[in-house]
Formats: sequence, structure tokens, C-alpha cells
Amino acid sequence: MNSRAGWLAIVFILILHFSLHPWWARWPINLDLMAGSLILGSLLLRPDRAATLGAVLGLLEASISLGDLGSSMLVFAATGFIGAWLSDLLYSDSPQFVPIFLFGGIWILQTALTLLTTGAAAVQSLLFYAPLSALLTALVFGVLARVIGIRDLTVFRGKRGLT
Amino acid sequence: MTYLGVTPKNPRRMGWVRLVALFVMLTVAFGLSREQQSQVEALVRGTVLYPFIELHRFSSELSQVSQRVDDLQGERDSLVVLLGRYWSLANQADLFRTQAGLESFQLGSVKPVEVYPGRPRVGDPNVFVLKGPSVAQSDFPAGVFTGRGLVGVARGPHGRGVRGEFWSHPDFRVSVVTEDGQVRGIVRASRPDGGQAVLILDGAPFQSNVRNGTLLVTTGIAGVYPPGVLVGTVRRVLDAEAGWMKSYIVEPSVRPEEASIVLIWERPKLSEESVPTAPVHSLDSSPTMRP
Repeated sequence: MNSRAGWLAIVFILILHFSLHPWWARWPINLDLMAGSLILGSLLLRPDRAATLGAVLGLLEASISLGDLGSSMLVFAATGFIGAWLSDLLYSDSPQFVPIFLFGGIWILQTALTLLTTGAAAVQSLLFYAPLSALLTALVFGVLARVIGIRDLTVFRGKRGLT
Repeated sequence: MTYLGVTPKNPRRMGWVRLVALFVMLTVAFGLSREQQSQVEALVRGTVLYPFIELHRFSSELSQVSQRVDDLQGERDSLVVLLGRYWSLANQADLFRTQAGLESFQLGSVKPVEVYPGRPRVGDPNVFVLKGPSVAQSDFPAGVFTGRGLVGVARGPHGRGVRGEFWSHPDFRVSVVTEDGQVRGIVRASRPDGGQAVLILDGAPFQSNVRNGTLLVTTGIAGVYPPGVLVGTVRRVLDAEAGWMKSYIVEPSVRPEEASIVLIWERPKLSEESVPTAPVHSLDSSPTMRP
């Protein structure tokens, strides 16, 4: 496994996300490819770069969805930063850890987005749609991570200068 | 410490520089007004996201091609009915105006444009972007409708297009009158129990009795919407407030998801003496301050 395969997978997923955006956005429980690729990307990057990647993805997502630029960029940047920072702190060689990490990250991102766009009134979205979307996405990305060779959170530490 | 086999000069310092630059960028993004944000989004949509936007438009056209014929026939029939209803009235009004020595009544013109709706979750499904030839030169706010009824209001430029709000937006207001001209009121959007959006007719006099199935059309009083555009059909009484006003639930004539090609109204240029001194636009769909 090398990081080039990871980046190719992320770029492909992002193209897929923007191509199929109107269909993803139609259902309340859906595959959140954007969040998945951001958290997968944060495993490959240092926190500052992951935050920059998040801000750029937030700008693209707000532009295609006609949303608020500032809050979208902030939430995506914060998710990228925290994802990369946590992956520096956590050591685990368990193969189940990457899907759990993805699930937690996607749920937090979706919750933050729902709170910023809809408000706390969207209880159903926060407690039902968001975790189920996160679970579905984490399962798909967990399989993808195994396919491209991300078996645990220690895989990229050497490439990121963290050995 | 190496990074991809290359020893960076000072990775920790560069990281802080990037974070500070990012913080500045986020502060700028938060400081942008809605109009400025709209222009930035238009730039991104017109460059990086352009292939995807075109792909969405193409696939949407493909999937709607068979349904579009039925819709167009429906719109044509509605327009014929509408034309028949107002043709004689317009002729009569013209005749009276000529006799009174007034200028003939001007209805303005319309431009056909494509609708690109906002998406839920990150975006707002109650807003849209319109794309069409020389549409950005329109006078805002301006009514947006189809042959079947009112869709929303165009608010301002968005790159070479226009940004606006569907009737389901919380800021949307339109003054309406019943078909027979007896009852007037203001229509706004509401989402009972967070479900599908409906319209609420507010301000109908308490003694009025608007029957179920009554059609509501725009009054055109504020100059944002042309007069006589269908808004919706009264379904039932919602509330009677303090014995002086009634509210009704109104079924909208066009749902936001049904609108793909719409018409944006260009109001006629009025002579100077006929332009009121008060900003009458504020009567219809005046945007409120939102957090």
C-alpha cells in the first residue's frame, strides 16, 4: 500500500460524490462520500494540511449546495484537523479501529452540520438519520480502506514523519 | 524526522503558518455578506464545479423528458385559461384608461430561465439559482413563476445568473386576493411538524368565509410579482385569531421540486410621476434579518 493509491481513491470518491450529489442529497439516510473521503484524507495528512483540505472541501460543498460558506468551511476544516490530530494520538493495530474511527468522525461532522443549518430542533436527524448515515458510510469506507491497504491507524505514520 | 524521504526545513513552523492562513481565510468567509457569498459560490460553480453542474442538468433533462411534455401541456392549458380570464378585463381597463387620458397599462415581460435548487444538509433547499441569457440585469426583487403558478422570488445577482428563494423560504411573503376579489391577505410559508411546506394565508378578515378550493392569485400591489399569478388553493381554516382575523392553509400550485424551467418577471419601466415615493418593494417578500 502506498499513499498514492489512497489519494487516487479519495479523488475518485470526490468525483463520484459531486457527480451523484443530487441523488445523495435526496434521501435522509445516505452514503456521505464527502465526509468519508475527508476523514480518510486526514489519516494521510498532518493536522494543518488536513484542515486546509477540509476548508477547500467545505467551500466546494457549500457552493454546490448553495449553503453558508463560513460555517461549512469551519466544520469541514475542524473535522479534518481533529481527524488528523486524533490519528496522531491514537495507536491501534486492530482492523476494526478504522471503521469505528470513520463512524465517529462522520457522525460528529453530520451532527455539527445539522446543528448549524437546521438547529437543535432536528432531533430525528441528529439521533436517527446522522448515525445511520455514518454507520453506512463507515462500513463502505471500512471495506475500501482494507482494499487500498489502510488496515490500522499506524499505516501512514511513517509517511507523515511520525515514526 | 523525514517526510516522504525529504527532510522538511521547519515543518512545525510551516504548520503554524498554514493554520494562521486558514484562520484568516475562515474569518474572511464568515465576514462575507450573503451577496458576496453568492458571488464566491457562483465563481466556484462556474469553474471547478462546472462539469458537475452541467452533468446534473443533463441527467435531469434526460429523466424529465417524458414528464416535461405532460407538464408543458398542463402549463399551456393553464395559460389559456388565465389568458381567457384576464383578456377581456385587460381590454376593458385599456379602454377606460384611454378614455380617462391615462397611459396604457403595462404588464412588463418575462424571461425563461433554468432553476438549480439548493441541496439539503450543507445547503438550503429553499433557495435556488437561475441561469439564462442576460438574466442578471433584471430589477430585483422580481417574481418567479411558471404557467401553473408562483415559484418564488429572485433576490439578486449570482455571477451571470440570479439567486432567489422558493415560496417555501421563511422570508417569503406575497399579497394575494381570492379569485372573486373579495378577500385579501398575505401568504407565507409554514412547515407544520417539520414536514412538507405549505402556505398560510394570514390577515383575512374575521367575517370573511373563504371556501375550500378557492383559488388565490397575486395582487401585484407591491410591484414584485405581476398581478393575477396563481399562488395556491385554499384547503381549510387554520386559526381564528382574537376574533378579528382568520388564517387558512393553502395548497401551493407549484412545488419547488417540480420547477425546472421558470419565468422571471421584468416589471415595466414606469414614468417618473407614477413611481411612488415609499419603497413599496418592502411590502412583498422583504428579507428579514436572520442569525
